[in-house]
Amino acid sequence: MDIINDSWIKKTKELGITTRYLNVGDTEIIILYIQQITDRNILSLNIIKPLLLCQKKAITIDKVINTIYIDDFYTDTKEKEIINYVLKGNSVIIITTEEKYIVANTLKIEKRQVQEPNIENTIKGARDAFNENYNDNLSLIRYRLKDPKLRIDELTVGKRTQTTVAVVYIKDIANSHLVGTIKDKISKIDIDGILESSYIQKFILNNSYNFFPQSGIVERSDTACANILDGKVIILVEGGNLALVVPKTFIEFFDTGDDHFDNTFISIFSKFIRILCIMISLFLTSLYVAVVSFHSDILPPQYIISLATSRATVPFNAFLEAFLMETVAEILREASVRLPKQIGPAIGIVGTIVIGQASVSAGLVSPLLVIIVSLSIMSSFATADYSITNTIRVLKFLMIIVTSVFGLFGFTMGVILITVNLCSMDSFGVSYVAPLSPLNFKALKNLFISDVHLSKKRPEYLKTKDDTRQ
Amino acid sequence: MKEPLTNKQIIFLIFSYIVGYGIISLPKNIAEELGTGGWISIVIGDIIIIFSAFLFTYLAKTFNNKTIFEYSRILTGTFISYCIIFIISIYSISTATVITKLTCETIKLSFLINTPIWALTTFMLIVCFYTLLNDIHVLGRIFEIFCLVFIIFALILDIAIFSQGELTDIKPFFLLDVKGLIKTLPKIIFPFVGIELLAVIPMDFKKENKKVFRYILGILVLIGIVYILNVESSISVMGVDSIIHYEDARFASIRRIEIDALQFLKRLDSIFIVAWLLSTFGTIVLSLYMAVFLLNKLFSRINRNIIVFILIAIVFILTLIPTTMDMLRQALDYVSYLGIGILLVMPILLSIITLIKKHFKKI
Repeated sequence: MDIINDSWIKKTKELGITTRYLNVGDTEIIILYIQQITDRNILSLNIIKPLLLCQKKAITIDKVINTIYIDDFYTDTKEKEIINYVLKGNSVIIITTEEKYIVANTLKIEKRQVQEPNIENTIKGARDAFNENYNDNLSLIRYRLKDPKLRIDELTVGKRTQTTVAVVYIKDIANSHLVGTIKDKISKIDIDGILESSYIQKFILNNSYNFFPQSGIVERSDTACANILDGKVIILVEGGNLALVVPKTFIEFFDTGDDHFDNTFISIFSKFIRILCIMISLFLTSLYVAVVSFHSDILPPQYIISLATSRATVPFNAFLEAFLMETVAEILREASVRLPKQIGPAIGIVGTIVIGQASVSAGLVSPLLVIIVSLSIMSSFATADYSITNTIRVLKFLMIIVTSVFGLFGFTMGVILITVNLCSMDSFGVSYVAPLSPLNFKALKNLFISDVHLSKKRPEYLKTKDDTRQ
Repeated sequence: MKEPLTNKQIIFLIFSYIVGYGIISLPKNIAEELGTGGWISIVIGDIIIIFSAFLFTYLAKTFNNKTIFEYSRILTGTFISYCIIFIISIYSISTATVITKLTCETIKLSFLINTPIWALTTFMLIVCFYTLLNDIHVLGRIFEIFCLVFIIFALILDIAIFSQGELTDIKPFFLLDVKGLIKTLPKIIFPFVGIELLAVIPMDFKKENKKVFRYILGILVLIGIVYILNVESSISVMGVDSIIHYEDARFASIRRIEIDALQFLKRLDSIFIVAWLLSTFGTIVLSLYMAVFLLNKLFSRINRNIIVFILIAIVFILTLIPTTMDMLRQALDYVSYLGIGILLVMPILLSIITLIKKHFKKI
């Protein structure tokens, strides 16, 4: 092999590549690997040891292949690719007298074990969540879906990170146009590095300035498989513990895996509760502002009197009062996310005492607003997908501002603005408000019922190749 | 994978355009002319509008996937076609202006007394501008949702009002004053102005929109029912003698009812305000859409968003012209007369020309 010379070996050393020389008979063998990402036990016992024990005068590449104990290997002749293979965690076995070399998969990465989900909690559902290991994640999917039509198309993204991105779908279910578009968009990504699935999300969506997420995130492998069976596409990124699911419509954010395991009535009830929670989280504080500032006459007298009494000592107007309280609540939430687990509860205590007790006692805010803000924050956590919670947090402030200026008129216009934004969005060619618009009663019914026994067809709006489930 | 405009979306667009600002004064207008038998006039108006819808559907079916911009040119030549487009555009802009101003005036008088009109119109037109940046497919999705919300709210309100109203107030049901009916015939059609939207919606009669007329028929009947419930429920609360003194008769009747069992929701004003604003927003946006669509076709070199901006600016400037509520209502009447011309005279003439040209096999 021409490339092997002192300067090349020096260059590999600079890259952190270890070179191991072996002499088998008259032949010199060079093994290249990176210590930190190589399973050195496998390397020593399955490659080096059998080669050293080999009692042959001259060894060829075919003989090496028959000597080493490696299940995953291949041969190549491209000399320029050797370093790339080594950087990906392979061990490259070079026989100096041959043109071909062997690439053996001896990759070993320090990883978390498969653990319970953190953001997609479940009561009855499976608890094996994705971790940062790409192969583990794929194994969880393959274990559940033994369909020969399951496709895992791998693409490499990132000039420097060389990250593997997998597009997972079932070939005879998923819409080919959808799969083609996703793969096309991913292959066009031109960036130095991809570290997480969210990077991919930003690149493949039509408009990153939209408020609402156009793709879902999946942490649990059973949810990922359920989505694949529905005809959707899962995108897994090497090193990321969250998979992306596309297309995802707004109403699907109210669906959790648990709904499919529960009694039909319970799942319908839970969905209505979640919708109510979104409404409360988004609108309740702004409605308080509207009623206090502009439309006190829409409440009956006894309510107005108690409302006025509770606000008697409050020095701020309704807008400022609500805005300040919501901001403090957001600060608390933000702080509690960043705090270490051990002192996390402390911020809760501080928040409860400072906001709940002290501010009311000081007469800075009305007790009713404290209830409203707490309820609003609590409700925002009831959504099934975490990614939509943040959107609701921001839009809540927009609603408070427009309502404080124009009362119920501003409130209605705010609702219209949000609806227009929702309706103007597509998630990979699927209307973001499907199946509500275009109205499809069957799909809407199936979504609410979430009963696998009753949902005989896949959602029509996904335009799958095979729409029959049973 | 862009979806075509479905039949349901088309009819919800029509519903949103037709049912608008007028619902607030409809009980007064009907009761004033025909008393408790006013519902008969709504039925007659509905029948007339179904005929107009039939003509528009016939034209759209004859010229598949084409709009009035294309088929008026085929039927009448370039000059007359441009005149038609010009008239429709003027009508649409006037409708949007008058409805915007009337809505904002009503809001100011009803509950935002200290807020200047220009502020209300500015905010409303900004929302309209944002909405109009989208094409008809998105508008179809938006108004499909709004319509469902509106229908649910309207039903809740009607049931609530009927539960508080007196049956004696809406009796006698069959009070047919033929003379009065004929005299008020143009006014009967006013609440139904809006079906002309069909002229700017491209429909595919070979695939997606084969059965669109059945759907249109259904929605026009539904609009008739919504109007009848609106009028009768309002009269049941206030009575004919009282209701004729209120321009915002619907709002006035809602303010008079309180349902104690609903506790803090016993006043229904807020539900009505939201529903009414949704419906007026539909009328404003869709009338402006008609103008945007036609002018964009006419001036295809100009970016659509620029046309939207210019039209919104024109509407805003026009709303600044000082007017009284009476003048505005008069202006609405004039615009409605023009609307009747567009929704009845124009399709009749175009249909006759189509039949003649078909007879001589020229199309």
